[in-house]
Amino acid sequence: MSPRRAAAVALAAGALLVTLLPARGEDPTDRLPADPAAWRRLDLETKWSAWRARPESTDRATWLAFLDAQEEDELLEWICVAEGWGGAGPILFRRRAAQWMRAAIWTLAARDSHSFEQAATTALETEPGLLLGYAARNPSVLDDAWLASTVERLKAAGTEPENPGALLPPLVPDEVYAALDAPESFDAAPGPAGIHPVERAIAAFERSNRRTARALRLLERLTGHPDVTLRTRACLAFTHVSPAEVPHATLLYRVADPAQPPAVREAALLAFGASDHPAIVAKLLEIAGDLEHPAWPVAVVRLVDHRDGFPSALAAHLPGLAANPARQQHLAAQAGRLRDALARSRPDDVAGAFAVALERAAWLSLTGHPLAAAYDRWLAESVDRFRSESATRATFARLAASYEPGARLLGAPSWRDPRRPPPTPDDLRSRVRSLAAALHGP
Amino acid sequence: MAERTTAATASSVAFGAILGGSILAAALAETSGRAIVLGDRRDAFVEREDGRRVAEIDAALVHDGRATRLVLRVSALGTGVDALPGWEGVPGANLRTAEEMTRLLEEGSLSARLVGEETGIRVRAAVRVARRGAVPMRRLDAAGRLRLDERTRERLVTSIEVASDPLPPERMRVEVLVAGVARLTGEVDPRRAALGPFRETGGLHRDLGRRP
Repeated sequence: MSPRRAAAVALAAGALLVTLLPARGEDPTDRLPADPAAWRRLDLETKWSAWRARPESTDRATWLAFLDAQEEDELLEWICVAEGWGGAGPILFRRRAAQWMRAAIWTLAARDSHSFEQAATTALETEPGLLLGYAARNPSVLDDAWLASTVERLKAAGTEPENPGALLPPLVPDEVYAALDAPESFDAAPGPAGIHPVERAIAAFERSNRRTARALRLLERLTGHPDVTLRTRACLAFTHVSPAEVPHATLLYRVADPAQPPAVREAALLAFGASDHPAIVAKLLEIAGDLEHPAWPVAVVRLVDHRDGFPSALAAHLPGLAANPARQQHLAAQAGRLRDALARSRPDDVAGAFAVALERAAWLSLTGHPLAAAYDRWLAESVDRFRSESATRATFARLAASYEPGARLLGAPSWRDPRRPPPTPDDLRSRVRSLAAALHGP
Repeated sequence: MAERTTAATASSVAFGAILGGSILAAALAETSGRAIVLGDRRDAFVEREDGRRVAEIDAALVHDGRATRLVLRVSALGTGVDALPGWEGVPGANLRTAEEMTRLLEEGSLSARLVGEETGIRVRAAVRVARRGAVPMRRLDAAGRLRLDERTRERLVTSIEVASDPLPPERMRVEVLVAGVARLTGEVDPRRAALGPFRETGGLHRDLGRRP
């Protein structure tokens, strides 16, 4: 979406809320839609956009109670799918709305185990007869392992199936994610042709383990959508998937594209850098060594996320840092994160970190990384400080004698730097062992 | 998933302060000059569902000159704590764990007990807030830019502490319960200053089978 269009959407949503929400005191009940009759006349997408645009200070439970009173079951189901079972799900269940069963079953694949647990134990398990009847009518739901085992258990216990009546059929991933197939432009006003259905589909995708190849493809395409907000959100959605599902090359293309605004480049790098595979870490180090790169802050953050201590030594390799207070401050904050982590660490943790750093150092030197020598120096200095620790000494002795590359380094990486082919396992083994022996000392 | 390690780059002075025991032991030393840590250990509270480490467990047997007690801390912040999945999470902090601990303490549904394995003797343990604060997270601001060093607006319970009454000289089973169901179990033996592993024990998840 162009900035002008984004402003128009924001304006439209704002105008809608101004009409609906009285601007009186801070009491959350004041912020409810002022006129229930006017609310009921709105189409569902407009109601959804009003829900999403509610002020941060608005009490969520109060709003949900209003939606409950208005019998907004369809909207509550959307909230459940996009935001998790808590809040909206229990209302659907209490009302025995036609959507409750399928919303609860959808939530069984939630990435958030609390959503799963709540839907399973406070709703589905309390209606065993209905659950059996629903599964008999909709056998596709038995694809879920928990549901299949629960149904078997209920049958074995002699539970009688009940007629599911008007309960709606199960939600289907490609329908829930259908809006990911987004048009190039949107209506400015909230509605079915607006941007909100796409944002809702992304939120639902992020929440669920029900992923499809089609949804992944559409999401990858959205990383190049004309709308900046969608591009950013689509990039970030890939932080929710496994490394094998991340389109590393596409994301890196967005990171490198000077035509992309910083928000997109940062979001793309956050997703690209989610894995701590040495090839990914090497790319993060490369960007962290380029102070002018728009995604530089994210590169540093991701290195610290992966417990890599090199950022604390990075300043020496960034000649322009002194003239850039914002980046200086950012680097200091991330070094602070490292110190906090260290303060909570035990000797075994530190020794384990050295083992990982050693593998990274070997990878960098074998692939001709520009920061390889600096990384080696930093590692040697760091090890020196902890040389007297028995856990450190034991770790280096073990690595020097018997290091073997782990399975994830032997398999095909989910991303391969075309300029720096990965080292062979033999080279990696030999390099790590010799580095460990050198650092182990007398 | 990131490895369960930490980088070793900051001041070795800070590290040296911790080496003699856990953070918990250091905290105890701060609060009671006379306390002696007889033994301590750290475990991860691992979600059975997906193998994620959602909390760090520090346990110590502490002798205060008169008696030996168990002090156990469960923390949503810690070196080995996995973040919430996705871009909002910050490794080293689990927002959902902090929210859950806050809720459980508000509900009063957390309790703990120790049971002697030889005599069946029961020892009480108090559960209280050890630490409360804002939890690190990432956000998108109104302009659509990532904010990488944000924190929750709410001050959540980030650590709870279980402190037992004096322990008898026998091996004991430790249970931390949610609504009467054991969610965390472990063992202690004051005679040998030994602490067994502390683990998530399923609770509500126990009978739910395997998720996809």
